[in-house]
Amino acid sequence: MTRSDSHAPVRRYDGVAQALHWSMAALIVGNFALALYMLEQPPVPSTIELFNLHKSLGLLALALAVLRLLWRATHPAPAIPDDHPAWERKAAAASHHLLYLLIFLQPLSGLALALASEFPTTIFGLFNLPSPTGPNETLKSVAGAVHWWGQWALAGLVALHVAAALRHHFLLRNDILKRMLPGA
Amino acid sequence: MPLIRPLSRLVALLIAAAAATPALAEAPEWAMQPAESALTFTATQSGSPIEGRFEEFEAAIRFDPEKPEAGSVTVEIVMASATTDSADRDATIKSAALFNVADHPSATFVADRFERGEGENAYAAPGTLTLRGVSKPATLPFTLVIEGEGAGATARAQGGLAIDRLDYGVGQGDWEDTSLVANRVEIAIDITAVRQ
Repeated sequence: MTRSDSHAPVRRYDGVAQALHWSMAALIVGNFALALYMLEQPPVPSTIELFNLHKSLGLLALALAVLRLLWRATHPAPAIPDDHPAWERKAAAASHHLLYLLIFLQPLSGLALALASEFPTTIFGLFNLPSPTGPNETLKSVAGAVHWWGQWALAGLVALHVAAALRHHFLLRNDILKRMLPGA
Repeated sequence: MPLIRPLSRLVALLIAAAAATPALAEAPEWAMQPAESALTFTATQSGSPIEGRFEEFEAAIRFDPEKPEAGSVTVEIVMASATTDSADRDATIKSAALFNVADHPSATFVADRFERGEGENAYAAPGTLTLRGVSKPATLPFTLVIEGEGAGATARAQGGLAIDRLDYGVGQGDWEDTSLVANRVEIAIDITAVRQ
C-alpha cells in the first residue's frame, strides 16, 4: 500500500510537489535570464517574440503557483527535523513565505504590466488575453515598478534558498535537500 | 481689310475664353478643418488591432458633387506625426526599417478626379498613394455628406482603404516578416471641410 496509508511522519516531498518545485525553479531562472536578455535587444520582431515568450512563461508560472498552493494546502510539507535551531526554523519559515508571496506577485505584476501596456498579450501564439483596463499609464508604471523590484527580490531570495539548501547538503550533511530530490 | 477687325475681335475673344475656361471649369475649393478631421490606421500585431493616427496632415480639395470628375484632392501626411500612443512603438514605426521618416518625411495621396460610387453619397477618389518613396495606384472610396449650400457649406467625408505595407517597403529586413505584424493595414479618413 502507499505511504499515505501508514501514519509514519512524511519525510520527503511527494512527486507532485517535487515536479511543481523544479518546474517552477526552471521557469523562474529561465524567465529571469530571458528578461535580462530581451531588454538588451533591438526593437525588431524577434525581440517582440521574446517578450511574448516571457509573458507566456510568466502566465505558466502563475498557473503552477496556484497549483502549488493548492497542492501544499492539501498535502502538508514534511516537518523540519527537530535538530534544527529555532533561528533556522524562523528564517526558513520567513523566506518560504516570502518566496510564496513573490511567485504570485512577480507573474501578477507582469500580467498587470502586460495588460496595461499598448501591446497585445499573446500566450504561446495560441490566444490573446483580453485587457480589462486597456492601455493605462498609471497601472503600467506601478506594475512596472513592482515587477522590476520584484525580480531582484525574487532573485535574491532564490539565491538565499539555493545557498541554504547547499549548506544543508554539503556543510551540515543532512537530508534537507534530498527531501526535494527525486529517488534518493 | 474689312475682315481684319472682326477676325482680330474673334481671336481676342477666343484667347479670353481660353484663359477663363479653366477657372470656370474648376470645382469649388474646400478647406479641410484639422480639428474635425482624422487620418487613422489600423495594423495587426499578434492578431490584435493596433490603432494609430497621423496628427498632422493637410488636404487640398476641389469638389463639385454635380461634377465629381472635375474635382481633385491632394493629401500630404507628415509621417513623423504618426502615433499609436506608445512612445516605444512610435519610435520603431518611424525608424528606417518602417516609415523611415528621416528620408521620407511625408506621404501623399493625389487624385485628379472623383467618381461616383454605388449607393447614396458614395464617391471614390482614384489616385496615387506615395508612401516611403513608393508610388502606387490606390482608390479611396468614401461617403460624403454635405450640409448647407454654396460658400460655407460643410462636407464630411468618411472612408478608407486597405493597403499591403510591404508593397510600399514599410518593413525592411526583419520587419518583412508578417507573422508578427500583418502585411495588411487599414487606413481610414474622416475629413470635415468647409466650402470656400
